[in-house]
Amino acid sequence: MKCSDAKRLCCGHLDGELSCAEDEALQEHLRECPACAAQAEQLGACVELLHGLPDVEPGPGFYECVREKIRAAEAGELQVMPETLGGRARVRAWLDGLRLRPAMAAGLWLLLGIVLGGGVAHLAGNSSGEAPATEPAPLAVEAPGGDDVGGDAMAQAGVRSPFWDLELDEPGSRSDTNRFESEFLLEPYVQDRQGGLVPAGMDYQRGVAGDRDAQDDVYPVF
Amino acid sequence: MTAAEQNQPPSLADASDEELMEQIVAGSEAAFAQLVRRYQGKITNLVHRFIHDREQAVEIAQEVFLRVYLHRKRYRPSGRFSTWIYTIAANLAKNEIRRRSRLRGVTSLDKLLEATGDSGGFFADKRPGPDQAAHQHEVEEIVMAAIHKLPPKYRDVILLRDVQQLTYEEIEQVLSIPGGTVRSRINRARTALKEMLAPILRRRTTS
Repeated sequence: MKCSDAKRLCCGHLDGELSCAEDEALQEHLRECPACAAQAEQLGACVELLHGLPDVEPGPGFYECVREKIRAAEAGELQVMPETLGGRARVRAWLDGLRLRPAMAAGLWLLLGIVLGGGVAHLAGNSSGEAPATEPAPLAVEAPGGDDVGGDAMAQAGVRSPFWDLELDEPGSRSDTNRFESEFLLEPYVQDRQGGLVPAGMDYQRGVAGDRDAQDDVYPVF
Repeated sequence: MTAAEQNQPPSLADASDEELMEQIVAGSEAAFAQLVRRYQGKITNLVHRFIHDREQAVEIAQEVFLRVYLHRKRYRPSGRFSTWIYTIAANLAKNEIRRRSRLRGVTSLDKLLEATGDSGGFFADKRPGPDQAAHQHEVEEIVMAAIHKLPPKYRDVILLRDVQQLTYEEIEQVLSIPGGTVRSRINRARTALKEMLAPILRRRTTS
């Protein structure tokens, strides 16, 4: 077994998710590889630490407060925001908001008109001879089985992210996370599949367009 | 057991979540009270781990049960109740995080680790004593700061798996992501946490 395979299987081992054969192979590797054994021990300690976090108790009177909120909601005294009610309810709430705020609604319609007017003008410009630019194909797509392949595709495309590097490093040779951070910041351009240089952020967005794992990844990494 | 006893419905304490929901839909307040008792601790704990604010966590947990009650007819018995309520709780907690410009009460991880120094050692003294509670609190602060330093998609899986101890299958349903993605996110999140918590983990494994 390779060290990278052992690293991948360690979490499954801690969660009891491995088959007997996988578990035995992992144990055999850990007996032979002190670096992986040390990493596995620290990973186990980390999980133990997380499991040991004390529970927070809600305190007395919890149910009575819930009942009071239900009463207030049913009496119309408490407004429950439709955050988890699905798209249709959200649209309805949005439309309600527009009805209640005529000035805001008028402003939004005006803005919409400007945007649409600009779009029509742009199309008219394109139809007079210029071919529309085609969208570049995404560099990574999610595997049918749900495997998280964004990291590999990003690595191939030259995009650096601390997480992918954490995964790819061999035990004992992992470099400091800060180094990857600064490298990412110092390399504003990356090479795409066609060999051209594109801004790192733009390529990041393009490269992971088909990856579910990265669609909501608008947050900075570390 | 007589035939009459066999035909009786199970007591509320023995009823499954799904059976309680059926009774709630039929108008049983006692069933709702039982369900709240069963989940209030778990939901409050989960929300607290997300937003790191106990008072607000209790408020949001109450709102979770409010929504469960108001939308009880939307619940489909084919799905597990636990994943339904955890989904509502996680969504409300994440909305709260989005609503806040920054997390209150979460201290910088670097500052916390710096404060431990080389001479301290969180796990050096395991004897029960007046300092132990303070040590435990400091450890909790460090761990929570590290978790909240993770990108949200990794934070979510680690909270559901290692703090709330949901199964992989439950996490798939709560976060609506495939099993392979759950596994890879857990793997990456734990690896990153291990790196961030390395100073105290080294101390812990050697002591």
